[in-house]
Amino acid sequence: MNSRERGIRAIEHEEPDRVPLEGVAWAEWSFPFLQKVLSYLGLPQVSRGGMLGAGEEMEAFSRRLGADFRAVSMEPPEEFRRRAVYDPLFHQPWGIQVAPETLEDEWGVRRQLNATKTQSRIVYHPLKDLEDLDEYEFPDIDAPGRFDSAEKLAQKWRDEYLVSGIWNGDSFFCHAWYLRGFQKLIRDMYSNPGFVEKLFDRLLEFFLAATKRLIEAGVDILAIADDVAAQTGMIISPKLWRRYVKPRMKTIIDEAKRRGAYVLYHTDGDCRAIIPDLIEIGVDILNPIQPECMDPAEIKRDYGEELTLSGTISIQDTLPYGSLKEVEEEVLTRIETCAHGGGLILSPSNQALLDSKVENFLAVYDTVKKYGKYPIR
Amino acid sequence: MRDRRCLLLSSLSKIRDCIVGLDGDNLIASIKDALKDGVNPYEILNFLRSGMEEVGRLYEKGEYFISELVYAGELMKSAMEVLQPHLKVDQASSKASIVLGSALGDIHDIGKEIVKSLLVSAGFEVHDLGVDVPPKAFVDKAGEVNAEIIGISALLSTTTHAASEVVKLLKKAGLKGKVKVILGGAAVRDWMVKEFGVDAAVEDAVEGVKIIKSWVEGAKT
Repeated sequence: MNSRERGIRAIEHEEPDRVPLEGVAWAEWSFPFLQKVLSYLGLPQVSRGGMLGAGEEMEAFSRRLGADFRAVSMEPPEEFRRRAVYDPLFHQPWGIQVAPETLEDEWGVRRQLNATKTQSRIVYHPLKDLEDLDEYEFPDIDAPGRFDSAEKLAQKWRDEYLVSGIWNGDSFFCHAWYLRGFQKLIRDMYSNPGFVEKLFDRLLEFFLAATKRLIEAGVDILAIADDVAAQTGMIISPKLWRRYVKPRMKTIIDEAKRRGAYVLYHTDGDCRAIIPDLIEIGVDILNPIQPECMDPAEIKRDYGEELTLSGTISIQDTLPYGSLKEVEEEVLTRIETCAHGGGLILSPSNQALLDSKVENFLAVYDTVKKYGKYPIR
Repeated sequence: MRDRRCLLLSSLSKIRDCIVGLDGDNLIASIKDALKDGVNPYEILNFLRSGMEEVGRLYEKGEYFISELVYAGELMKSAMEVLQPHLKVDQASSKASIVLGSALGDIHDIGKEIVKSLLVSAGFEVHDLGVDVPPKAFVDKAGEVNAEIIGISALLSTTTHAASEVVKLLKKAGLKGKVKVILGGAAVRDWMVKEFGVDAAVEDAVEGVKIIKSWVEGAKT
């Protein structure tokens, strides 16, 4: 059974030969840890990260991990990339340098490197003071070069692996507040709903076109990433999410399904309040299910027939502070409680940080390969 | 007289209800009406604060979420812009002074902003140093403004360690014991109290504000 078949079986809630393994994102603060892992393994350093993990130069690393999926991403168009620089420590790595250590992305959002040179923070929101959205020019989805790399890699990988595709990192809620500012967007959601509806409609237009293009390029799984939850609950209330985000996500998912793709939804934190909604609109895979925020066994018990769980291994506690034995125990617990009947894809439950132990990170993958074979005993 | 008191209570309750019900459309008009009717601005302030406390309780009960906390904070800011000119400085003295910021290396500020807004609403004097704040800056500011408390926000496990540096620098400056330190954020754990020498470590913003209030109330009894 190759990786592709293994992934499909798991998502279809059938038992494959073993629990499939997923890579993780290597963007911004996790990029230094990636280099540390590569050094440890004696693999060459890489120049690029990625929101879903596996660029072409990371192929040897993905094989060493035993990852059963590959990921591609939409990029800024060729013309923008010619003028831009690439810095993996930035949330959007392609950007025009507008000041020292400050990049402006394709949408006009400016980010600056922090003092410890480990991540970037937004210092300028292009829609912050705008009253009329028509004054803002949205990027052109049809600009040449946006999907070239996604198409090339998806075609290369899709016989052997299921290929995930992501727009450009973030979806409706996060993208909207990057453009508008967090407090301002929340305020608008209550007091200026017309502006928010229009902004989200414009984002829908862009993301819908991107969805079609990614699936045409050969993507099997549309990955929608939108951090709408925090450690102990939702950031955006379920009521606001249902009003502004859910119907637009449904339009996207309907299109993806019509074209035969699976849909993965990523949000950090505790999103239990909207899991029934996610199932209702057709999400197949929920990622990353941080065990400190939601108990994976409980999610399996309550939603395991409809949802595939992806991620689930602690990056906040076990990877940085646990022993090798504790990593193994956590992986074994997850296999015992969540693998029956398929519907489980294992990986660390988010980007691993520089304080993670390399041995612990690798042990997640090695333990699954050793003990994750079906039938689960 | 009784009718007048009823009228006052009704207009004050309306202001409180606007905060709790997140009714931005009617809040400012209600405050302006109350001021025009001669309602004591400090009574208005107390009812606004009581409304914010109720918003915090609804959050703890799981009926409100972060977006409600943020919007209530925004409404409180707008309300204070109207009310501030009517408050005399000597009567508006703060409960305590607190220096707040996200730890060095950490650029996240949603949690910090919520803590700030709840503390300001509750009458604290907040000195917000922003994000990515070096440990020395926390201690220098605390000395400069005679702060009773330092609040450090850290979302990532890699940035929580900065709290231990703040505690060391406080000791060096002879401020340990005079200034309490609270560390808050998603990756913050109980064991960090002992390990880093902070006075409290919490995951949740509202819980953190409760601890800070209990310290200040405890010190005044």
